[in-house]
Amino acid sequence: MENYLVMQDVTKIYNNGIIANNKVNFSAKKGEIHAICGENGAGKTTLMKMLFGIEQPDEGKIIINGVEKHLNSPSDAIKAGIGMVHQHFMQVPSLTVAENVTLGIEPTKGLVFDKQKAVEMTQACCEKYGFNINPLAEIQDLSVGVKQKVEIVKALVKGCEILILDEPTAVLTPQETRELFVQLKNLRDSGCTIIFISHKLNEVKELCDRVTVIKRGKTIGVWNIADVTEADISRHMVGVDVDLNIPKEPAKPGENVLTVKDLTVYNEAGKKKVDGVSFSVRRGEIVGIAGVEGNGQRELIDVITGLAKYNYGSIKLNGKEVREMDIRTLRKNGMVHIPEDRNVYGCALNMSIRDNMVADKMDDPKYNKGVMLDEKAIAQDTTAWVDEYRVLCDSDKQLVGMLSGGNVQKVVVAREFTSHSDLIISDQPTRGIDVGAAEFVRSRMVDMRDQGKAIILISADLAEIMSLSDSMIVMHGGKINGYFPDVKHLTEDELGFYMLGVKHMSEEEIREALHE
Amino acid sequence: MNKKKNFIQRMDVEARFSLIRTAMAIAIGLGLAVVLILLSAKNPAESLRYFFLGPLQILNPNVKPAIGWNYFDYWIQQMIPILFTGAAVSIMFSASKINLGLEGSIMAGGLACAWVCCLLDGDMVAKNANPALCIILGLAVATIAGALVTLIPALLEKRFGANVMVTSLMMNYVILYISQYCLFSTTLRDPKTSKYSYQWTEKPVLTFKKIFGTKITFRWGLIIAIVVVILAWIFLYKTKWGFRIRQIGQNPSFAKYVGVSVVGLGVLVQVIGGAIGGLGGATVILGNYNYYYGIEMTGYGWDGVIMAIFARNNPKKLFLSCAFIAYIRAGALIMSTQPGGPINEMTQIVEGVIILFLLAERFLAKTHRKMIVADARDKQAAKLAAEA
Repeated sequence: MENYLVMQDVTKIYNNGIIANNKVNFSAKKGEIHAICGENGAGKTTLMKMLFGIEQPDEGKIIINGVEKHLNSPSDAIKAGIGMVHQHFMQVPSLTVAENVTLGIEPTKGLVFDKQKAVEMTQACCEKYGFNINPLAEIQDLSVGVKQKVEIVKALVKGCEILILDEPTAVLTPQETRELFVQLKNLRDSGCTIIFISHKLNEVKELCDRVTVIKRGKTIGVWNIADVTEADISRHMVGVDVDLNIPKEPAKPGENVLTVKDLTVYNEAGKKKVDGVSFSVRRGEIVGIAGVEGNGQRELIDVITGLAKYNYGSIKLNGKEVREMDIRTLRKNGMVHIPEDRNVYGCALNMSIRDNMVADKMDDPKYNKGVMLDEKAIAQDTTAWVDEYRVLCDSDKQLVGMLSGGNVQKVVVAREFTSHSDLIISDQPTRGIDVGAAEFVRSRMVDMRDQGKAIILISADLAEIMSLSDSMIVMHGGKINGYFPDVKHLTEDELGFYMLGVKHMSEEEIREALHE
Repeated sequence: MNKKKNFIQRMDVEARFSLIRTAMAIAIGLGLAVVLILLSAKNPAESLRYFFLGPLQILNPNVKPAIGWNYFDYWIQQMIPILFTGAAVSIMFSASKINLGLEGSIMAGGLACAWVCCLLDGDMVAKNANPALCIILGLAVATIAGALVTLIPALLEKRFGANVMVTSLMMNYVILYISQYCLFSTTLRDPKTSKYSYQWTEKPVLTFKKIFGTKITFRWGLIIAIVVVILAWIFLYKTKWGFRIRQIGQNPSFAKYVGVSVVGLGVLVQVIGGAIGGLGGATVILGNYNYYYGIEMTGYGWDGVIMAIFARNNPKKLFLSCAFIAYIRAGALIMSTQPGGPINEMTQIVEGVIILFLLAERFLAKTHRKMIVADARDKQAAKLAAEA
């Protein structure tokens, strides 16, 4: 079959001098699901941004259906029949599904928005491709899985022939993922070309027809999925074999470091987001917190780390109430935190690696000489940490903004792990970073556990949370609805049922999470 | 191999581009100045000479100053207040605190200092205090007055969430009207005049500025300004407080997350900025006048914003940018005092053009892009060569 989409010798150089794509070749046929795999910073996202008109290539051609296209904006791309589902949904929460779907192509009656027509268009599109969505529901009331479908319908209703999905399963439960895959396969069979970007190789293997691997801005090769194993793909991506299993001794938990008791948190809108949660984290164990996004984990972490205040209940760090501490005091009392969004909370992109690594240690007498900072002492430590944490850079004076996502995360991890700590809050520590960096971060976490730190791990990556955690709590609707003192015998499917709220445990079983 | 490259080639691509762009902007601005002078001067060659060389009178025997003028000193005099305000704005903008109340700080500082001089050494109450006492007390009171001007909007923001940019702008007018009130009522006005304050003796001015012969004037104001700029640089770039301030400016969420007191430091930088502004206002009074006449805004506060932009909020770079702007201002003024010379306001057009080109992101964007692409290719080639 002919290639429907061809990207030929595409080169993109960013303004910071990084060559994100260097003569990349990529092609996809009509009616196939084509995976793009590569480490973070390999250039997948850049390639897709050029296809969707967000960035323009410096060299090379984009040919769709035999015609060369110049895509100067996303609206050009949409006209050319390209749709993109972003990692973060682009939706207006207070509007209905129909209104969101027709945003940008609103049907009108005279000058007025024709709501009836919008609903019909949405309905027709859903029926054609077999999506089961109520067009009149408001986005804010929908689950993440349904929101994702709305995002796909949004692209389809504009008549897209090529659908780009950027990490679509990152926020889904196993059940929702399976449902999504069925629908994607239907779409493929109706002639749609789907480009699937994912770090989860098992999903690539299950869903896709072909796979293109990109490494350091270059195409490594294209394979039929039947001809390669997951390990093959991984090897092509990284260049060396990566051990996906972290070797880990059983935990030897000590005394409680963090005790959360009957905690209830209301958000700014007055909605109850955390509802009577009690658990504790002990020295030398990793406690995983699983749950579908939006079930209170965010708010729970925000109050433990001091980013937000809580209303009822208590949180005690080493026996001291957290409510009375600001973030600086909390950190002095041994809390460190790898934040979920490294670009917002985790670093200042326009400051150097060195500055980012010592940002939380400014009060340390070691780094001050009188009123001045002791630059020599700082440089000595940060250069050592750059080596120890394997941050790929020219020097520690380089701006963090110049690094790839995985290396930025290593800078964050290095800063937090080199500070004095008893409690480590690790929020999505490997989200969107490459396999090599992720493995490094994970093994570091196990090291820290073995040094006797108490660790909380939140991750949307079920494989990660299941392999790293010693015990696990599952949150649903702001409550803990499952506590697993031992994760060994838990299956992903079983966990999925608790995450979706289909199963829950008794009060007594959940209360055990407190270790009293 | 590195030895063959000159210093421009050794700079990284961004620094090189920044240099090219600044040079281009200045060239365009000065080019425009030449055109304006050629169009409007009666004797263009003479006017151009005064514009470009006037402030260097010390080195140039051909430039003959008008009676009572010291051209070189004129350059220094233009430079002092903008060094102060440039440093003040650099500190505030480093924390992304857009407090525009420096105009008010300068004025409040000047007024406070004049008041001290009036009280200690003027016709108003007493006379003949020690000039050093006048100066020290004047500077101290002015510093406090200047700090108050920027503190008020900062507190309004902290307490009520009022946008500091708006309230600080309004604060300038409050201070202007207070100053006018002092001069129009008899609070500070010498009843014998229409709008001048009481005079004080010449001693504080002559202590604060020493004149040697006709060509050399020494100003304590310049020394204080230089010290302030250096201290501002040390504070911002060499101490943990400065580090935190810059961190807030770069990413306030990140600063909060590592435990920086974002709100408290935000207020502190505005107090420091205002204090420096007040100090600057006092040096203007002490170095030049033995009376007070503040019924208009000085413009130095806005100049501070421009200087901070030129220096990219790094006080170290203020010296060059302040010296440059002060030079063309002094040059234009000297030129305009010559018979048939073009009007002095011409410099504002020139300054405006330079700033426009320095800030216009798309100016020379294609050259920038070409330099980046070429640089990236070179580096890659070098890397490949090294690997092979």
